[in-house]
Amino acid sequence: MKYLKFTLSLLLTASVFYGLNNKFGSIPPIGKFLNPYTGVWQNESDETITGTVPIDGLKDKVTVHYDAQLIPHLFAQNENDLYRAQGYITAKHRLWQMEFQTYAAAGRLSEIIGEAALNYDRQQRRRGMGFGAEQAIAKIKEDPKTNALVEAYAEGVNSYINQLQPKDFPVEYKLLDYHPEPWTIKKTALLLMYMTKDLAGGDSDLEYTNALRMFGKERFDLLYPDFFDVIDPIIPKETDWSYIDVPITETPESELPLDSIPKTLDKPNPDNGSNNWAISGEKSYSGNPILANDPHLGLNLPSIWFVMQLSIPTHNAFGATLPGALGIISGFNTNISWGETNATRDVLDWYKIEFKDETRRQYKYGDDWKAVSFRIEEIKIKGKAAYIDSVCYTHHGPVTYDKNFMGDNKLAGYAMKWSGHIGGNNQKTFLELNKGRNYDDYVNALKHYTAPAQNFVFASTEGDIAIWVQGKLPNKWKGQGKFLMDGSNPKHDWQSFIPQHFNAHTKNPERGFVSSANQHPVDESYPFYVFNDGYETYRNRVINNFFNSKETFNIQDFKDLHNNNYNLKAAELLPYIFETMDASTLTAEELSIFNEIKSWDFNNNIDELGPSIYSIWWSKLYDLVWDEYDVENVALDKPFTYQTIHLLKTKGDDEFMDIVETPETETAKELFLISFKKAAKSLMDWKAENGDYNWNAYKSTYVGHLLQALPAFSRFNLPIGGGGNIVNATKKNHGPSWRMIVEMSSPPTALGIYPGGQSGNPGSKYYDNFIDDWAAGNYHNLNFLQSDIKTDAVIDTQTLISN
Amino acid sequence: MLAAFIAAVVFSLKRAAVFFTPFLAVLIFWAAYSFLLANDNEFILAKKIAVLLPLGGSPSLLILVTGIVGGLAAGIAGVFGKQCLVLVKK
Repeated sequence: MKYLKFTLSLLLTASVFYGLNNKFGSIPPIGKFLNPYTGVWQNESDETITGTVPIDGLKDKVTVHYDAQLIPHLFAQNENDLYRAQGYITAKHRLWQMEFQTYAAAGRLSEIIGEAALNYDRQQRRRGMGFGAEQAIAKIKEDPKTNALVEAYAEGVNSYINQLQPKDFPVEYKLLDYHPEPWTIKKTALLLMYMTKDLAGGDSDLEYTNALRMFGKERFDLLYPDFFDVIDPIIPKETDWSYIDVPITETPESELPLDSIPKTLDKPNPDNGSNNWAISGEKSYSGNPILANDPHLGLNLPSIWFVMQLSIPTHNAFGATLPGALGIISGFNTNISWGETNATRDVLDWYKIEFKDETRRQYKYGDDWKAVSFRIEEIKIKGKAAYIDSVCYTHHGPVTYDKNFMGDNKLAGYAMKWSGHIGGNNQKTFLELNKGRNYDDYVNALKHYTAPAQNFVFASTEGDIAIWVQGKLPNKWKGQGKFLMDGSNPKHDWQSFIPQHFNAHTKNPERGFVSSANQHPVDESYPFYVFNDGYETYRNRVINNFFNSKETFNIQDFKDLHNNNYNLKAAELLPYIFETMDASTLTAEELSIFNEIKSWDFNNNIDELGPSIYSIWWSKLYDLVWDEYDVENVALDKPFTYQTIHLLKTKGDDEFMDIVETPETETAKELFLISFKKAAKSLMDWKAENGDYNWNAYKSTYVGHLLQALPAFSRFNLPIGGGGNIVNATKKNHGPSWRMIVEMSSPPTALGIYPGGQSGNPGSKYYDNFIDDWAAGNYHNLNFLQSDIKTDAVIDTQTLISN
Repeated sequence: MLAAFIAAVVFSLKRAAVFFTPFLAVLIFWAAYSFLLANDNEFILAKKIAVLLPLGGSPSLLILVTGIVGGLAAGIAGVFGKQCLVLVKK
């Protein structure tokens, strides 16, 4: 009996302790997790920002002043110490996030989350994310100076990690029951790949190939034109390109493989974009140039941005950093300011690969066969055996689609050619911008920059403003890379790159301002081929009209423009609909909704009903126009918004307007009415369930935690207007992720805010403390300290010393 | 009968105490310590963890659950210790 009891109590004890210390599904190991000595209760505090901390490898002391927003102001004596300290301080506030993002980039989420992430991880591996990071490292290593700084940053992160006890791990590690691993320069490269994928990892080549096959060339060109009838490009139309003496690549005589492709990779959010602009001294209220930037990305907590001041005796920079990368990415220093928007250039193409036989060891190229190399991707899975995926690599790049992934042809596949695989020392561009003093330094800094191509806006205290569309961009023949190409035809390869100094740019244009909002970089007069890879067509026109509307502008004008809710898209379509639609058959309820939208002034303000009605109406209308695209097992991308509206207004009786499944022949006019009735029904249903459909409630913007918007760590129902294709580009979970305004006085004065907070710890009051001000359109003054002498703005100081 | 009854009572009391003494001690200790940690930080994280688990966003409930989890482990350990003792003694 006593043995039985003993055995029973042993089993009970073992199972209770096992149960309390292990993770079940999404439930954290509850004993470990709640233990006040080691669990989450230990995270119930802000990070320590006082005292003296020894850091391995520091040569001199680094003073870290914190202001009331928990922005660290780093004062080091040399660059190596500065970036070592940046690594340490960033890790201290954002460790989990910076590491998690590199797991996501590398396709390693299954290690943390389990099998649920396997499909995501496989896609990342098949995109060659790790391969691209390795190419970037090789490039960084060619430059010992950059390499030393990236290493110093990594060691700084590791100095922080190494002194952590399990009780100090950020909450998310405890929740998912894992621990941080050492930081490496590969992780910095992976983080930059993560951005490259987000901003230059989308394309529609395979979808367009399907569309071309289904509709023919003439119809295709009507649906997807390279230029719209109205464009206002980044580089002003009147720019003289006659100095460019390199010709465009000649179009080869050849055929494209018109395959039918059932399914393609997940795409990054097509709304990833941004605004930036700068005005010259003449257009400025004070005579100083003023610059602004607001990158539009997924709205997440912890935020993608971490704001810092990074200073050594020879330079002093301030602005938004990306946790994991060195230096300021969007910001300013004593002499210059800079910011980016996505250049949306087509730098991702697909090639059909023909294997010699089922061993797939060789593929056809020209009249010969070329050897395939295999990259073995081992995806570790929490609680399961690892998944092994062998990916074929050709000279184009990885054969993403083949018999093992989204395809079934044993003898063929599609290989990816991507600027993300070229390798580039993008980090050096930012390191040099951080210490740049003038226009020439800015131009020299950009030369190292490969991908994702960005529109780099610039302003200086010397009075210059400029914008360069920078990236390593292939010199394509007209139409190259729009569709799947023939991987065996050497003439289909990228033949050369546009020489860097011929990348489109403008310095001090006559109109007194530069701007970009992901629109066409240039008009048709630019000698190189620019494919319409989904250019934005609305925000840029609102911005440019604003700067053409009066003589001078002040800081309030800049704030107003960031927060501008004017819906140009609606304003270009609705009056035409009101004129042409037959409203006589509307029911009383429908008519009341119709009258609501008729009285709308096209501003997407939070208390308006119009934006909600418009948003659902437009989505129903768009779907009805393109019902021809609802085809099973054929991947297709519907035409652009601008072109859809253009066709509705100018070709209302086109065949596409007809709804395929009805016997009648519909035209645009009927579609307006049918879609309105569908929208009205949807709105009435919504109202019955949720109440008033004002734009605030209907859009219900949220900032979601990186772990699938875990409600406990996210913020919901934020009162902010705007929307897609609007300068205030705030959608449901996407929008201005950092808003910055810099006046180039000496020293510069700046405002900035982002939807998050400096601390990555959900237990800190600094975790989400910027969100309400951000939603309200407010800004914080950025305290640009001029020396390491403590000022009134400093709330606490920590000193980092050599170990 | 009486002797058996008394023995049973004594024995069962002991058994309960074997579990409940450490259970209560650790429950109070964990609850008090977690309260102190969270109180200094205005329960910012406790409120969120109480949404996550889910305990209706109530930090008091989370503190109670924390105490029970700690107490449970301690109580079970007590029982097991007792059984070890019994085993060793004879």
